[in-house]
Amino acid sequence: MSLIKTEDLKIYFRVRGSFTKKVRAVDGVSLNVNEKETLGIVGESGSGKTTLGKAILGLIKPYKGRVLYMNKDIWRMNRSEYKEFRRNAQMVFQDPHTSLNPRMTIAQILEEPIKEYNLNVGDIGEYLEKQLVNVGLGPEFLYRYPHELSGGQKQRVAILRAIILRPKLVVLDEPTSSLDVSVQAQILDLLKDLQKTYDLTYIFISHDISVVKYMSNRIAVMYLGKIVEIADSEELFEKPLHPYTQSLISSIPIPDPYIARKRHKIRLMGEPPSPINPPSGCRFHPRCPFTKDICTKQEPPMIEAEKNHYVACWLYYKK
Amino acid sequence: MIRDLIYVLLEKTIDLYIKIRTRFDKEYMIKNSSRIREWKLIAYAYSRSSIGVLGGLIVFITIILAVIGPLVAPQPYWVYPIMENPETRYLPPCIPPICSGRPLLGTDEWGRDLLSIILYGFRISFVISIVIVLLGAPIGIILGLISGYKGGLVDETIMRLTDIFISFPGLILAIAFASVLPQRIREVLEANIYLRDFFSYLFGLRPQEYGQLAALLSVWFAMVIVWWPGYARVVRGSVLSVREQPFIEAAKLLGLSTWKIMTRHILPNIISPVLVMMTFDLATATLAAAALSFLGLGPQEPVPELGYVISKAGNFFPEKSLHVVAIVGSVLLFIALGWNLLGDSLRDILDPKTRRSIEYRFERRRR
Amino acid sequence: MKKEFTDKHVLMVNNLTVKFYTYAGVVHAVSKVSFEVYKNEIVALVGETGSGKTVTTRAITRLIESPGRIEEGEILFRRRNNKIVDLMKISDEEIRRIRGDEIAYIFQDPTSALDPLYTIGEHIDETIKDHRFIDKKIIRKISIDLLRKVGIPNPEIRIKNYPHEMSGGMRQRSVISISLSNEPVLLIADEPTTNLDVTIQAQILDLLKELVKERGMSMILITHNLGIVAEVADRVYIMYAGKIVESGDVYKIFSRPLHPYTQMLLRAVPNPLKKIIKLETIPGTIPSLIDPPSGCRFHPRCPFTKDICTKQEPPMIEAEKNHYVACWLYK
Repeated sequence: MSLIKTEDLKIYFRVRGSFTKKVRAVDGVSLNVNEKETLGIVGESGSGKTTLGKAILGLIKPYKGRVLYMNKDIWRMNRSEYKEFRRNAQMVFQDPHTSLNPRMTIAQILEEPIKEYNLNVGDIGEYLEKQLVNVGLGPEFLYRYPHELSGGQKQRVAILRAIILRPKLVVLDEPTSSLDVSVQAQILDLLKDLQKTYDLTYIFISHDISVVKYMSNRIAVMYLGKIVEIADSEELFEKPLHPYTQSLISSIPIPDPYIARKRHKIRLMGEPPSPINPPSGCRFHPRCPFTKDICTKQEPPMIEAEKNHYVACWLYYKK
Repeated sequence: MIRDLIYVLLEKTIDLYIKIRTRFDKEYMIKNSSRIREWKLIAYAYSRSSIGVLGGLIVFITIILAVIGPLVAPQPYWVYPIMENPETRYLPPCIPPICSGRPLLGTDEWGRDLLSIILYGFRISFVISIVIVLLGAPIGIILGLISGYKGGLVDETIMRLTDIFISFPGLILAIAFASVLPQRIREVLEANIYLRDFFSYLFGLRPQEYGQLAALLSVWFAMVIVWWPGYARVVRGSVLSVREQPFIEAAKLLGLSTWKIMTRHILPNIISPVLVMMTFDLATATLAAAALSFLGLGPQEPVPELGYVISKAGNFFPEKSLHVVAIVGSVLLFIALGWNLLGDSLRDILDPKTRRSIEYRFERRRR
Repeated sequence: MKKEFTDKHVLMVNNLTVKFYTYAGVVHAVSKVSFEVYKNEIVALVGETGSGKTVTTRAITRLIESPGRIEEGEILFRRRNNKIVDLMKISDEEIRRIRGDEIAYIFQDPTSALDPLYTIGEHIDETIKDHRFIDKKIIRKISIDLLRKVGIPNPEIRIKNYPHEMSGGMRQRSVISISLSNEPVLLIADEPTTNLDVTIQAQILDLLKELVKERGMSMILITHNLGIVAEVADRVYIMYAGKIVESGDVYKIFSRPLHPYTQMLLRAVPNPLKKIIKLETIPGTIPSLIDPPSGCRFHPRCPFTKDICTKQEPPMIEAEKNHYVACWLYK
C-alpha cells in the first residue's frame, strides 16, 4: 500500500535580490514509499534531500507537482484529512541540541502532542515514564531540561516525541550525524526496534551511504535536485549503475585497509555545480567520466534498467 | 556574608512558594524540580552580584517610598506656606543637631517641606515609569513577534510603522500633545468621576488637581506612543533567529496554531533580553518623564513632579535654590541608578555563557 | 620504556600530560601519552569526543591556553636542518618560528580558518612572508603554484578570490595550500574532511596522500572515522579518555584488533560492503575526565573487566611486532 507518493515534485526557492533566478532545490522527483518500509535518500550537499524530506511532510509548499498521502494530495485536503495527515507524518532532525525547546522540560515537550491531539492515556506522568523506557531512558529524565541531557539522550527524546502519536511515517534527517560513533550505533538500533514494534515507515535521509544502507530496504540517490538511481540496498551496492552512484560508493572510506587500498576508485572531477544554474541536459555530465554527446543536450528519463532497479542515465537507454 | 543572607532569604521565599503550591498539587515539587533548581540558581547568581544586590536594594527602597510616600508625607503638597509666611521660601536644609526648628531638607519655592515633596514625587515618577514600560513593552513585543514570525508583507508593514514611530521626536510629540490633549482629557475626567478619582489616587494626588492630572496623562500618552518601537525591533530580531530552529519546525509538525507557537515556543526563548531592556527602560522612562515636566509640558503646581520642581528652582539657582536642585536631582539619580544596576546584573545573570561557572559553584555550595 | 630517537624519527612524544583547571575541577585531558612519527608516513590518531586527540596535537606546538596547562612531557622534533630539539624546552620565539613553517596545521572547519576580509592569495603570501625573506613577485608565483598543486582550477584567477566566493572543498584546498606554503616537515590535520561531502572528501584524502609521498613530509591525521584511517594511514594510535589504548601498523590493527574498545569501535561502524544484521553497540558513555575511572579507564564499559582492571592501569606492551596494546588481557 503506497503511503507517500510524490509526482514530479518541484521545489524552487527565489534567490534574494532577484525575481527571476531560482534555486531549484528539488527538480522533478517522483517517488513512492510503501507502508512499513524504509526508503533511504542519499545525496551530498545541494542534492535537495533535506528539502525533499520537508516537502514530503508538508513543511514547504511545492512549486509544481504533488505530494500524496494515502493517495490524497496533501495541499488539497480538508481540515480533518489534513489533521489526520499531520498526526501521521513526523520528523527527527539532525541536531539534537536545537530540536528541543530549551525552555521546556522533557515532560512538557512530550505532553504537547498528547494534549494537542487529546490522546486518552490516563495519568500522563505514568504514561510518559513508560514511554521513556521504550527509548532507553529512565523516568528521572522526565522533569529535566534539555541542556541537562547529552546529545544521544536528547536525540532519544526527539525520537520519542516523533513517535508518541504513533505516526505512520517518520522522516529522519541525518539523525545520527552529530553523534559519536558509539552513540550512533545505539540510536540506529533503537530506530530499527521501534520500527518493528510500531509498524513505522521511515524515510532515512543521510549523506553517509553506509548508514543508509544499514537502515534502508531501498535507496534513492539524489544529485542536484533529481533522483538518479533507485534500487534495493544490496542491489545498489553490488551493481551501482549510475556513474555518480559508482563514484559515491567508491568514495566511501571503507574500514578495511586491504580492500580500501586495492579497490578501483572512481574519482569525480570538480565540484558540484550550483542549483541555480544547473548544467544543460543531464546535470551530472560535466563531472561524468562517461559523458556522451546526448548527455549535454537532453535529460535522461528514469528507466527500469533491471528488475526493480531504476536509473536515469543515457548509458542504459535502449530503444 | 550579605550574599549568603540574601540567598538564604530568597531561598526561603522560594521554599515557601513551593509549600503553598504543594498544598494544592502533591506532585508540584517533583514535576518542577528542574524549574525550582533554575529559580534557586538565579537567586544564587543574583546574590553573588554586588551591583545586583545594591540595585535591588535601591529599587526596593524606591518602591516602598513610592507606595507609602503620599501616605506618610508630613506636609501636604497643596498647601503653600509662603502665603502665610514669606520667610519660608527656599529655606536651606536644616540638619540636627547643628540646627533645629526648620524642615529637615529645606523648603521649595512655595515654602513647602522638601521632604514631603520628594515623598509625593516618588509615587508620581514611579507610576509614570512603570505604566509607560508595562504598556509600551507588550505592544512592542506583540508587534515584534508577529512581524518576525510572519515575515513578508506583514513584516514590512510593521517595520515601516516602527521606523516612523522611532524617527518621531518624542519631544515634539509631547509638545504637540501638551497643547491639545490636556483639554480633552480634562473633559473626560470631568465627565467620569470614577476615572478621575482612580487616576488621582493612583498618582497620590487629590481629585481637585485633575486639571494638572490631565497634563500628566498627556505626557504619559506621548511617551507610550514612542516607547513601543524599540521593543518591536529587538523582539523581531530575536524572533528571526529563533524561528529557524528545528524545534519550531517540530512544533509546526504537531499542527500547533501560529499563536501557540509564538507564545509557547518563541516568546520564552527571546524574553531574556527583553526583560533586561525593560529594567533599563524604567530608568530611562523616569528621567524622560522628569525631563518633559522640566520643560513645562507636564503637570504644573501644585503637583510635585520632581522634574518640574527642579525647573522652578532653576530660576533662583544657585543662590537660593541650590539645595532643591541638588537634593531633588539626587533623588532622580537614585531612582535611575537602582534600575540601571539591577538591569546590568540581570543581563549578566541571564547570559547563558556565564551560567556554567555559576552553576558549578552553586552545586558545590549545596553539598 | 624510553625509546630512542632514531634516524627515521621526525617526532617523538613522551609522557605528555595536559590538564585543564576549570571551575568544575581538574580535567585530565591527556594523561602520559607517548607516540612517534617517522619520516614520510601518515599516522592516524583515532578517538571519539573526549579522547584527547585534539588537545594532544595542539600541545605539540604548545598551543594550549589557560585554563589548560601542559604538566609534563617531552616532545622531540627533528627540524629541517636535522637538529633535534625538545619543543617543550625551546623559547617562545623559536616555537613561533616553527609553527606555520616546519610544523603546519589543517583544522576541521576551513571557513573559520580563513579571514573573510583577505583573499586566498593574501593568506598564502602572508604565511610565506612571515617565515622567509623572498621577493614579493616570487612569493606570488609560489602561491599560484601551490593552488595549482592542490587541484584548484585556474589558480591565477582564484588567487584573488575571497573565502566566501569559494565552495567548501575549495576552501579546504586553500587551507591545505596555506599549510604547505613553507614546505613543512610535519603536517597536522585535525578532522580535515569532516565537513565535506563524501566525493570531495575522497579527493582531499587522495591529495594529502600524494603530497606526503611527493614532498617527503610526515602527517598526523586526527579523525574519528575508521574508514578514513583504513584508506590513508600507515600507523594508527587509538585513544580513549586521554590515553592511548592500542597502536600499530594499520593492517594489523584492522585485522586483529586487540583492545576491547578497538574491537567494539570497529564493529560499531557499518561496513557497507558487508551485510550487517545488527550493529554492535558499546554500552555506557564516555567517562568524565574530571574524575576518570580508576585503573583502566575503559573498565566500566568493558565486557572483559577483571579485578585488576579496576585497580591498576595496564602498561603498554608489544603484543606482536608493530602492534602495541594497553590491556590486562594480554599480560
